[in-house]
Amino acid sequence: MDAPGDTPLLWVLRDKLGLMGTKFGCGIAQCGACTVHQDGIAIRSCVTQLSDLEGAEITTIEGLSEAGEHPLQQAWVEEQVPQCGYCQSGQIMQAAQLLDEVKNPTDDDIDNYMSGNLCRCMAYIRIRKAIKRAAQIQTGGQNHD
Amino acid sequence: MTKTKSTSDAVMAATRRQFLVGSVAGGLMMAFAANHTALGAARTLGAGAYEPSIWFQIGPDGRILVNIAKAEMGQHVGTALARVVAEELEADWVDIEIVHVDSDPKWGYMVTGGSWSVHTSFDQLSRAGAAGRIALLEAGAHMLGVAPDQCRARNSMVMCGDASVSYGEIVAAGKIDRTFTDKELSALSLKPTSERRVLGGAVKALDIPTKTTGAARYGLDAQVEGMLYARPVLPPTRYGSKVLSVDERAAKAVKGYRQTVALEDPSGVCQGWLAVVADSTHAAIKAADALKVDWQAGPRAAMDEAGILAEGERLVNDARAGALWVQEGDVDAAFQSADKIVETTYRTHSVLHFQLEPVNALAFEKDGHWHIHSGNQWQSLILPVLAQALEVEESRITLHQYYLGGGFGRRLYGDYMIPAALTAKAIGKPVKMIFTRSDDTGFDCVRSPSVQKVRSALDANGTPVAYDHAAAAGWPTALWLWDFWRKKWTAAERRTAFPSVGPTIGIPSPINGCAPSKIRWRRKPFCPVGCALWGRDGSVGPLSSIWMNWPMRPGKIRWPSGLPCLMARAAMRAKHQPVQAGLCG
Repeated sequence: MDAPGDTPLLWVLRDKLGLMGTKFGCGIAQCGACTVHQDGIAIRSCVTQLSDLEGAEITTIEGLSEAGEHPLQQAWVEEQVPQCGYCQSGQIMQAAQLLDEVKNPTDDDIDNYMSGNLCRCMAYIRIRKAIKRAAQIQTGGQNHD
Repeated sequence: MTKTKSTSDAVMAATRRQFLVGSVAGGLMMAFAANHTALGAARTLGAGAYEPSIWFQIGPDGRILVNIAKAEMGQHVGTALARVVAEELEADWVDIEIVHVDSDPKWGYMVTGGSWSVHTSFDQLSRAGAAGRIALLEAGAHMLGVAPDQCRARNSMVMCGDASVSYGEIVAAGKIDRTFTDKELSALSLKPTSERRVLGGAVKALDIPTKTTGAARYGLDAQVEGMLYARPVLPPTRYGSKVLSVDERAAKAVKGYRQTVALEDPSGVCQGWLAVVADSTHAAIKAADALKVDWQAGPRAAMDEAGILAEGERLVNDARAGALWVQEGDVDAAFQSADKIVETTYRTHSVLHFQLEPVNALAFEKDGHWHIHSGNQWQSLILPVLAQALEVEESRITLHQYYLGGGFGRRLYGDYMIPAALTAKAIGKPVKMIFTRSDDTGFDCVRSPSVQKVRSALDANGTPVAYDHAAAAGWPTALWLWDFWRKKWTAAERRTAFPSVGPTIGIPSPINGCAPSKIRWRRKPFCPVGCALWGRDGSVGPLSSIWMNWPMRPGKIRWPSGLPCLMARAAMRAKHQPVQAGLCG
């Protein structure tokens, strides 16, 4: 990768690789808009330097599913979650890790995992519903509702 | 005389509009146009000789493309407007696509805000949809060999008994050439609510799928071949700052740093700005941090929030300060004879918009034409300012619209495009300028601090008989709507404007109007920063003076429910139920 080692992953993704789905909100890991996965773990790409990522596998919103059919993406459409939508790549990537770890999350689980992802349009209620619906889609079972 | 007559004819022609439905290049176009041609709909549309807009078009495959001239910032406006068209067009919703258009003058005045989009477009779009349906129905009936009144349109089909023909098939036949006069359009009867099939029910917003896959494109995502990246370096004061010296040594050590440009802005928006240009966003951010700049700050450098509020406090307590907006009846006498007076002072502070996507713009000149890619709510406001900044005609600037990563009113003001355009002009290359979060915060048009003293006079029964409202705040719309404020307001207009938005938002509109009638009012709005430009006759001083006098960015202010709060308090004091009728927050 032709970029200085201190370049944040966010700008490598956007400027070098043309992957525009990951967004810039604050640059200091306070809003979550830039969330991607490093080896399956949700990280803030705006503060993760390229030099710390040797050998790491990075997944962005573009790589979460082939064509937007991840259970979270289905649920996001079904529950009509996004308004302006700018935070939603980060929200979905963060939620994806939650569903990896907790198959059937409670409201508390969701709040604990998702509280670092800000939505200026206040879509939080629908985000919570959509995560539960995604859990249902994923497991084909009941959720806590 | 002749000249006068022809001018007046031109004005008449421009105000008379017709709706054209015509087969063009394999598709069907439907558009409003000025009433100036005898060519017929199809030839006029095909020649591009129509005036304002192509509202929608249908392809031979039956896909219906609705052009959206409003900004999408989370309200799903494209879906909302397309539904209005689809309803009267009798279109199958699955056939609908939307596209957000650029700032071509054919779209007319472009602004998105104030919750205006749907209700100001509803009638026009409904009639356009209905006219389209009629043209399709007539053509479809002809293809089916029956009379139009034997057919009905439904789900993108024209049907007669068991026979039907789809909109796509009708369009592919390519024989529609229909003009509706303004009068005919007005006479179309729209569906009663009970017969609506698209509106009023649940529908999935058209913009949502791409907002779940990362494919939705915001201003931040705009790209063009060969673009460089830039970050602004903001001066210490909004106005009047001058760069004294720039030390680039540390910035030059940043890999990818190219240069620092001192922006010369004929529009006066950017005063004492620099732009750091680099090969990447990261390098631009880092080099801007490394830059050492000495400024001579503008005259308002010492002004702060507390000072503005203190000045507001002083003004609302000075009976001679400011200008009177509304006075009805003898308010002083009413207060003197009151049984009780309820008085409260409300204060609000500066409020940032903090939309999640920091402001940004990509700008470049190609073949003598400027292209500015960004998300924006009020293209028609910023185009003339951009023209002034770039020293070109407005007709040589096109704003390309993107999704807005939050608008919240911040993107009503497209000022962030100006430093991007000036940087691109200075270096002769496409420039993508990104404001960091801190840059965005420093350049926000904050909601103004305000101080409002509100008093109610109650009679012996506890009934409010008089009301006195003195308000001091920044005055953003003096900037935005300055010629609007030049007019002399009638007492009736002031009354209508008073209760809800008053002179601050600047729209004396029946949208928000609600006029409590039993109380005698008065109210005194002020500008707290010392620009007593608003004469007592309601006229305002020149734009540039307000612009220069205001130490902060122009921003909205909100009368913080002062009126309803006070009325509720007054009512409670008087042991009445809070007043319900006619009060808006």
